[in-house]
Amino acid sequence: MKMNKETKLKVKVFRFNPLKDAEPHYEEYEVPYIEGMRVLDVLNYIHDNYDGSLAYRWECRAGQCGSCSIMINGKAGLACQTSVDPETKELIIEPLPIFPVIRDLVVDVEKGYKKLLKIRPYLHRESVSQHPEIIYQYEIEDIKPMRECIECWSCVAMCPVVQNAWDIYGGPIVMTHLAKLSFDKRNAFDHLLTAFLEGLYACTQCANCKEICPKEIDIPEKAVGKMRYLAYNKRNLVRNEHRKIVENVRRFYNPLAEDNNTRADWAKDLDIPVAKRGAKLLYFVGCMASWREQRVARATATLLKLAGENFTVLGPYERDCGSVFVRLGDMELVKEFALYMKNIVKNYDFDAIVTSCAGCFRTFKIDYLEKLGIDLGVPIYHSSELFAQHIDEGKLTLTTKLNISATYHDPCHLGRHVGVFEEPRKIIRTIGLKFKEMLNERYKENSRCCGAGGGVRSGYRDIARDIAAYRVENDVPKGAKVIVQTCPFCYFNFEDAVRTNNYSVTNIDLTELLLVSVMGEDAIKVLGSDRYKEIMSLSRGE
Amino acid sequence: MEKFELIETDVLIIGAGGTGLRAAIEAARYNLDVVVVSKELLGKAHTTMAEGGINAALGNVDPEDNWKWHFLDTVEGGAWLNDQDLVETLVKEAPDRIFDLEEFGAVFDRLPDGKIAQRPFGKARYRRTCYMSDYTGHEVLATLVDETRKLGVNVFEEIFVSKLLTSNGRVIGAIAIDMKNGDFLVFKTKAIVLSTGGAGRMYKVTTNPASATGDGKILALDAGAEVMDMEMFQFHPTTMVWPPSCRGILVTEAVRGEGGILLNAKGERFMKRYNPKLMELAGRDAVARANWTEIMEGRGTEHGGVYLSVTHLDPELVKTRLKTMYKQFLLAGVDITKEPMEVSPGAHYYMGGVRILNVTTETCVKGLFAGGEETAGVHGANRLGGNSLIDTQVFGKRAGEYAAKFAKSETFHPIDFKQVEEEQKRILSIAKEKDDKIRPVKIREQLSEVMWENAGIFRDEEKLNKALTFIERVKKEQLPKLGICDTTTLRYNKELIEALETINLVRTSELLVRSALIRTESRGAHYRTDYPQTDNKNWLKHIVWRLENGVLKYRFEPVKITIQNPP
Ligand SMILES: Cc1cc2nc3c(=O)[nH]c(=O)nc-3n(C[C@H](O)[C@H](O)[C@H](O)COP(=O)(O)OP(=O)(O)OC[C@H]3O[C@@H](n4cnc5c(N)ncnc54)[C@H](O)[C@@H]3O)c2cc1C
Ligand code: SF4
Ligand code: SF4
Ligand code: FES
Repeated sequence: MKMNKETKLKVKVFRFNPLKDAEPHYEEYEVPYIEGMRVLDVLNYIHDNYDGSLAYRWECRAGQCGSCSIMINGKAGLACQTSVDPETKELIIEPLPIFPVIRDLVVDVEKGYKKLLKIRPYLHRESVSQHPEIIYQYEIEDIKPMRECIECWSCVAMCPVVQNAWDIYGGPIVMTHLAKLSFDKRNAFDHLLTAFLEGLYACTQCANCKEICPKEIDIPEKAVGKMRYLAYNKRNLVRNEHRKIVENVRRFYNPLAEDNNTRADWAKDLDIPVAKRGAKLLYFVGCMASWREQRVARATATLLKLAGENFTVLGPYERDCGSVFVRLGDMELVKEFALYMKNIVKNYDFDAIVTSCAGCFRTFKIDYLEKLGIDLGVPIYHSSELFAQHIDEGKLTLTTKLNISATYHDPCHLGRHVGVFEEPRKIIRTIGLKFKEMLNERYKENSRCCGAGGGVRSGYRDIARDIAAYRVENDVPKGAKVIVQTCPFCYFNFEDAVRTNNYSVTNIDLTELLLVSVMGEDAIKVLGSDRYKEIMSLSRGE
Repeated sequence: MEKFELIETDVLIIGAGGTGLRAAIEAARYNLDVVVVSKELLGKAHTTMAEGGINAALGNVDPEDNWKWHFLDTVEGGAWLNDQDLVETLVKEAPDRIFDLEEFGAVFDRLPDGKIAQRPFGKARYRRTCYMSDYTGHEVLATLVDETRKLGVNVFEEIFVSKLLTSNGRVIGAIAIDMKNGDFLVFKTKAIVLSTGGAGRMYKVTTNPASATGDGKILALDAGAEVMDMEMFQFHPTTMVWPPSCRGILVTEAVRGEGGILLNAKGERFMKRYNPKLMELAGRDAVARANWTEIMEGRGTEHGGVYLSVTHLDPELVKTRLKTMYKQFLLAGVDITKEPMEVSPGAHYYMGGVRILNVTTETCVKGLFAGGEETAGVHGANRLGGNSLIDTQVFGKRAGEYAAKFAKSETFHPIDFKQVEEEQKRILSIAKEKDDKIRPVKIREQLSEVMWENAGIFRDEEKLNKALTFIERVKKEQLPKLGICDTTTLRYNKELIEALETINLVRTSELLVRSALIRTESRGAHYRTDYPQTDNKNWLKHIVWRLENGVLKYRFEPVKITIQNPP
């Protein structure tokens, strides 16, 4: 940290008194920076020195009460626990969204309380217990983190599902409370059923909430994930849509109910190695690219070829990665697929795996290991990581500059969950796109979920699409013509939103753009002339 | 008269901390209307900040422990100024109140045999402090919140009570401002429980939250009740010193309980000079004075503290049992598993407050009950760590019980609307446009500085007189000009509430300083450098204040010694 007494912070604060003002406005203040300053100090400074009418909440200033949560540069958080970066150009402070404003930064959380009270958020004892009660430490390990919740409502402010469908999904804080009660052996009430009814399967597991929770509660995994596991395996509490998917995978080895023998049909005209022995790199295509977004598979495979990789796809031998089942909590099924994959890697003696889909990527990289203890034993790459490396090493040379105004959507499974942020951006810049980050600071760690994850796309298609639509409407910068995608799953969902709502923005996978940039007109063979023309005309600014 | 909303309830509980919510849960058993009001949102009261633990002689770790030892530790720790009838009730009922909490759903850390774990705490002969990691207060308060939700107790949030209404020596209601919209509320009640907590905000360096402004003590005084032991303010030995923004944030006693050691800038474990027997786990008063002396005599650290180190402990233990501390310092750039913390004393706990007549928590005003940090007598001249949370439970329950019983046997009394009107005038006069207004923040800044310098850890007549002169000047010259920036609307007018709190702080400070001047001895947290001796012959008595026709009057009241005579 730098000691600089002279530094002045530029602070923009949301001001609104609904009794007096027709609409909110922002006021600007200059606040001297002092070392170790927190956002709460900034607010106190403004209140003490400029304007005593500024309304905001605080109590403990130690991150223990949850009074002071607000939006700080687009991210919900506790004012007292958020350090101010003296280098920040501008600090923008706003009230939590979702809730009506009482005044300035103070919101009315009544709506939230209603959701909370509805689930009967308290322990129901069957009978008065004997004391001292014998409870072992291991029996409380799962509930301890859930009990840490300080009801700051930050998670609710960040949750994409709450934003679009709070009537269907209780929200992260509700899941935290339900988890604390579901995991409590003393509890006699069926809070797991309540969770199911409160939209247990409507969480996209994007971790937008976990990212900002001041108590670092792992809501998507340790609350939602664990409850799903119990609901699915112990109680058979499953939505019909998901039941169908499970059946599909059992029968077809893919959730789309496609004939698995047609997995590599997209490659027929391209001379792509299928199930080739001796290949060192496995390109795991995934269901969406195999059947729904085949251009992604075609572009990726072609690029791998151009880069000189000794690779293969598995074709009919590729089976589901198990991602959807990890999200649903069907660990038995995941295990089957994980063991199958492990076998494949061993049999073919692959050195590495590359995926198109962020979901497959995360499943191989994190879930097999953390949830099942199964290590595939080889490095797992997302295609963007590999291609960034190829460009660096001169294995891919770019011939055509693409002059398109674009933004980029960080898939949750690729970005926030694994930390791949830079490689896609590097490629975007290298191929010449005029790049702007998503608005409202919703990029990188703070990227907003597309809405498709966690089984939501299959379970609640409308919610998934609406969440993507919200992102297009609110986060895509003015003038951006293209949303660059790096996950066929996000792609598919965004595309649904764009088509349904007739948005003028175009979704294009990063590999498609890279392919055009490398091959120029020859890319027509791979992408088709319509797509090629579309990309080129976007590049000409048409 | 300004508009107001009239709310009738059998029992009104002012404060939603551990005390208030426990009282509400109890009162709700009596099939009465119960309303709880608080200045902040539910679950965010001061109690949630308590870290280290809650005491009860369960004997889970040390089977020798029992209520008698807990009693002795408490009165010894309190330097024999505790009223022993209150202490006896505290320690005898403590285990049942812990079990209540468990019954409501609380989760305490466990021993291998499945019983509640207990850690050592300052000046306790046995390991007696139950805990949930180092956020015990949160666990306690969140549990009580759950239970009030379960029982459907009405909690009105962001309500500031500014005056109690009385008639013929009993309370019959209260006046409040609903901060959310700026409306006046008038409560018509049969009984009131006061549980508004402490007043740490008198001091510049304090562990206390924004709402600890001594409101209840002043409300009680104005309603005709008595306050006592107002000179007794505990300074916690270890609070953060750096960065400036964190000044005063508590470093829990559990750090020393788990084995943390204190070092001065020279690396000397200085407690061996002050208390070689108990070392770091001596009483808070003693450790605070030791730390302050080291700092004042030039053996302090870069930022004016002493070192508190846990680097010799297992990092995993530090990260789990002292999780809050680990994170709190990490955010400030210090990894406490590798580097020592810098700490110094800060104002922490008010032993003084409303005088309750006996273990029913009744006060000398009929219908007015009080419990928790609001009251005096339980902790004497110095509170033991972990004894306050249990105080909130034992006396919170009792306050709720006796207030309910009282309400059962009573009827509502008609409100004297002149009192309402007068109070509204007082409040609105602050919210008037004034050219020469003095903002509350200005008064508070000076007051907290003066109090810290002159009525802090070390006191003497000269310093205390300085403080008193200052306070009298503020009362005469500044409070009449007290004003706020926004006089156009009372909707969430934070500064108006701050102004009212400031008046309470000034008045509480006055009581503290006057009492400290009267007590010409040193006892517990009250240390007079000009009278360093403890004088049991003359001073085993409380200084008790009341208002007579608007004038502060004091008298002495002997300490209630029912079980054990001081040595
Ligand atoms: C950082 C810290 C750590 C601590 N750790 C421990 C520990 O480990 N063990 C232990 O035993 N003790 C500990 N304590 C002390 C203990 O937490 C408090 O003494 C105790 O919680 C007080 O509880 P209470 O219910 O009496 O009051 P509080 O919790 O202070 O509640 C007061 C309530 O009154 C309300 N109120 C106040 N004024 C008004 C008004 N005018 N109108 C309406 N409502 C009002 C407030 O809004 C609040 O709801 C700690 C204290 C601090 C500051
Ligand atoms: S993981 Fe995403 S969808 Fe699920 S609760 Fe958190 S923010 Fe909401
Ligand atoms: S889960 Fe975390 S973010 Fe959500 S309310 Fe609780 S503490 Fe805040
Ligand atoms: S003020 Fe309590 S969490 Fe920030």
